Amino acid sequence: MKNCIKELRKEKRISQEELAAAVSVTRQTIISLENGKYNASLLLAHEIAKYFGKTIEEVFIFEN
Amino acid sequence: MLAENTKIGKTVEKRIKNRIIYSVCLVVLGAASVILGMGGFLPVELSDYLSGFYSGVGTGLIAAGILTIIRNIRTLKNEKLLKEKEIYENDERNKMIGLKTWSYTGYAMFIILYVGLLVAGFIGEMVLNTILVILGVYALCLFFAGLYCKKTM
Repeated sequence: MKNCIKELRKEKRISQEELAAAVSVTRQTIISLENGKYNASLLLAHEIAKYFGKTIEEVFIFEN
Repeated sequence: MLAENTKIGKTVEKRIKNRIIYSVCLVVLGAASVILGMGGFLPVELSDYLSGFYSGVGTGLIAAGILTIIRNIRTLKNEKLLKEKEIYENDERNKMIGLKTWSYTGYAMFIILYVGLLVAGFIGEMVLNTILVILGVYALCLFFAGLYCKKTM
């Protein structure tokens, strides 16, 4: 599953640390999400999308 | 203070308090082990080895218990540390890492025990039976854990 967290984060000019604190996860989780090493749960995906004011589909790209 | 603010904060604080209680139990258990090792309650022919063993294990338990108590009390008193702990313990990736680590360890343990079982036949019947019992208990634990998870999820 791809995502555009890095792009949205840069657009909003916030650090990984700030995003991590906002969605209550560690910075390592944000790094793994951005690198595509880890897929977020529905709950975390919702939190991240909500933080950027987007829908889950706008942040996370589901692939078959 | 964090506990006053959030529900998760309360959970983490409660979890840390519980850990302090468990650590106190660990210290008591360690002290009992040291007393057992030094008190001359053991059979005479085994006392040299066993007394050292029980004393060592007991001292280790006491040290680990005291360190855990100190670390947890420090976390409870420090708002920043408590917040960090809250995030670290509720982080879903960390939880996933924990689950996968246990899972891989479980598989490795099963394979090692099975290889051990094959080799044990050449060493002695006693070793073979011991590994067989461990493997049996392990398989039972695996079965009941699976059953529990299926019922609760």
